Amino acid sequence: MGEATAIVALVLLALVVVSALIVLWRRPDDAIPAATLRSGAATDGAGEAAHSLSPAANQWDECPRETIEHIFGPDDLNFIRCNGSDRLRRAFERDRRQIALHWVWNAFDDTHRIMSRHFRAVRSSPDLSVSLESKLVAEFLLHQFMCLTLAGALRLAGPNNLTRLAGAIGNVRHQVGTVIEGFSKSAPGDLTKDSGLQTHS
Amino acid sequence: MLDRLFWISGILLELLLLARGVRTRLVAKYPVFYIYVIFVLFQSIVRFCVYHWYPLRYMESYWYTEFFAVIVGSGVLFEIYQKGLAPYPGTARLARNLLALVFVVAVGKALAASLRGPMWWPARTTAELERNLRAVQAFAILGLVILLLAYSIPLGRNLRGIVMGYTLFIATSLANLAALASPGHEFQHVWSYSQQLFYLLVLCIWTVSLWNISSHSALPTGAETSSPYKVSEQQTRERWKRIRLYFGKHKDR
Repeated sequence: MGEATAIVALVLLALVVVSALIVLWRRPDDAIPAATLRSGAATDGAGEAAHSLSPAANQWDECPRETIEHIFGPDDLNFIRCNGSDRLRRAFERDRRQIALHWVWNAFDDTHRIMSRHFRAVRSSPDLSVSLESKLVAEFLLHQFMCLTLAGALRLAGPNNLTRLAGAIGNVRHQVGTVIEGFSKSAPGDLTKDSGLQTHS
Repeated sequence: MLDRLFWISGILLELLLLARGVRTRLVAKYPVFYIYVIFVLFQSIVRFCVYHWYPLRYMESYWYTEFFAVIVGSGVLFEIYQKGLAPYPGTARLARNLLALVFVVAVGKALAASLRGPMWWPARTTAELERNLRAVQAFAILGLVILLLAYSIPLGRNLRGIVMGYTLFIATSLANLAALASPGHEFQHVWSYSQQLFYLLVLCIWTVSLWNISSHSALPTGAETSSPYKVSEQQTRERWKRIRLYFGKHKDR
């Protein structure tokens, strides 16, 4: 490692450590009394716990999947476009974006709450599985990343454009799938056959 | 003049910290930390004497004592891990794995460096060795902070003070090592004062947080009635499943 790279790495590491210190300092000192933990653990049933996550926690049960597909779908926008009013279209797009963003942030927050609850529930488990826990954390991070990406995309493009994008991606995926299927049919046993690859034996 | 003032203030604060530790019996609770403080006090006095009576030997004595301080400091890290996570055996096991990963990566890096050159140990100077060890400590403390935050583990005022002080100390040490490696003597001169100031701040954090014994240092073992891990894991997955359905995932593993 060059000297300049080492200096930059050290400074960056120092900044990360200082950030960790600030986060630790801002955390309320031992805010969770044991009594709360005990009662929390006692009422930690699968059903009611999910409902007590937040006032809007029931949305995942009450809001059907079709409604979400409708929010992200093109039908309403097509209807508004038929009216030919730009003002109405802009207002509609703004509102639709707000609704979609609200939905994404709710998903983000609820997942975060579920994970916090999980961490608190398992932190004193003597049989905590490191591999399962790592897998769960990886999935959680992936989900949060997805939410952030979706929120960013919604801000930039809006839900209706995202649907078009998703449709385009779906088409490409379908086309790629067809091509791959064709490949596997032409070379079921030997992948080097008909693929242009040469073997020298 | 200013550096002497910093030096003497540091020695006085270290003495005060030790005196309070003995009085509150925190010495028995955190023995490695107080051994570290005794070592640092001894180190400060030796350096002060060498600086005044054998100034030509100062740099040599500085790096030797600094190397041993890093080794004893690593013991403080282990003590933080051990005491902070004692009531949480599962999380402690996770922390041990995390620490092992940090050390495996560090050893792997050292071995990879040895393949490129004739020296087994990649550090050519004590400063470089300290840099490597401090980086390992920084990663170890980052891992600990992540675990503490994620699992909402309460530390108590005493241990929290030790962690915060030591984290600040590592951050300033890293910045100091970067400053030492950088060209430009003026910056190094200015930074040497900042480093001393930050060290006094670290001692203040330790003195204040360890002034009295904390009434709520950690949750007693068995205070939480936890369900088996597999059950909790399944419950979490069930809760996720509700949300994931809206993200196009119809099946959960």
